[in-house]
Amino acid sequence: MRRATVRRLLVPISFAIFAVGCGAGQPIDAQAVRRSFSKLQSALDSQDAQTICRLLAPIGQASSLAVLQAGMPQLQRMSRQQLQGEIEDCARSLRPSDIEPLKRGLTGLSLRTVALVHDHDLATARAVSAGRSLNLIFVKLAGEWRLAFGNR
Amino acid sequence: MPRRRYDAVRAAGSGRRGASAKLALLCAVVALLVGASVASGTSFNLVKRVGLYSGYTTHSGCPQGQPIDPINVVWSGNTSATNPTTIADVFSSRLAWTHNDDDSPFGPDYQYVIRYPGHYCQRDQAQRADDCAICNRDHIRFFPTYITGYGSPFHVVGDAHHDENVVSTGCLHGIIPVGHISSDFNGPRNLVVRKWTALGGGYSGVFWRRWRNDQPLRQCDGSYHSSNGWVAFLHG
Repeated sequence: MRRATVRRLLVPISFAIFAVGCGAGQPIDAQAVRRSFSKLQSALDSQDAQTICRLLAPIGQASSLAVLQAGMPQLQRMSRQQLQGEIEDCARSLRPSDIEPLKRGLTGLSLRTVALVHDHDLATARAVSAGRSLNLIFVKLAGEWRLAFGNR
Repeated sequence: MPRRRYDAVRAAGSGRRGASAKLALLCAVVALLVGASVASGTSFNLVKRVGLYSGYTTHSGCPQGQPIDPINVVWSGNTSATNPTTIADVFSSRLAWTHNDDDSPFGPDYQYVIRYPGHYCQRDQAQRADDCAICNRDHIRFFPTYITGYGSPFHVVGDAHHDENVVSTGCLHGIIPVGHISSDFNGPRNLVVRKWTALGGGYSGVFWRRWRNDQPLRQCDGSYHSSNGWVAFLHG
């Protein structure tokens, strides 16, 4: 193929890759939210403190979505090392009595709708099980989706 | 006839006794009312002296915020060393309440008290807990409320409470449904008092006052929990 032809094709191919990437981004992230929630449920079931602490993000309880959106840039600046330190501290402290109510409340729930907001680093999800439903919030930190825990 | 006279005399006597009984009852009621008003007045003045307005609870997102936790501990001191940071440092170093949500990259849950005079919202300036942010734990926030011109001017108020993990469908809109409720106020307050006074030295001594901060507070899981309204005054 001649060099000029390659150059002519390069632009539309780049556009195509970009468009496919953008279009696919949302469902892939929604799947990642579901996967993370499922992992959390398994971790609660097996009382795996390290994974529970990794997949729960303790955020001020009354933090509305707007407040979270405003705070996301700061959260995104958190280093992996800082995050890991938090997880280690948490895993050392977490006892079965802390885990049990979360396991009871989250077991059996499945995510129906997942909506990505704020540049795809926040997600809201409707979790349902027989007779009840909850609106959950997930935050994406260091490439992983974590369920917001309303710390008080 | 004699009998009728006797009845009349008895009736008259009974009337006198009835009148004095009514008078005694009236006096008792007046005394009770005066006593109650003095007591409540004293309590109210003490609240103001501590630097709080009428709401003796913390508020989330003051002034529109819902009442969250009752204020149940007050530290008083004669110097500026009685401030949230120094009180919180004692909690970390000597009471083993080492967990500090302010250090967390996720940040704390801020709450507010309404200060007197001025009627303005004061955010907590420090807080400590005896366990991690997603644990069942005892937790307290510290608010500076010192005012001048009322004797001992330096006060810090605190809202000792027990955080309990729940997953709930009953939260107000916008409240994260996986998280803490405050399931007890009296137990953590008593624990704080026991630990603080056991430090001895300048920290010894406690006196108690009953404030009207005992209303049941609705939690996210639909349960109601209240303080018994007793506030511990400690030396800070």
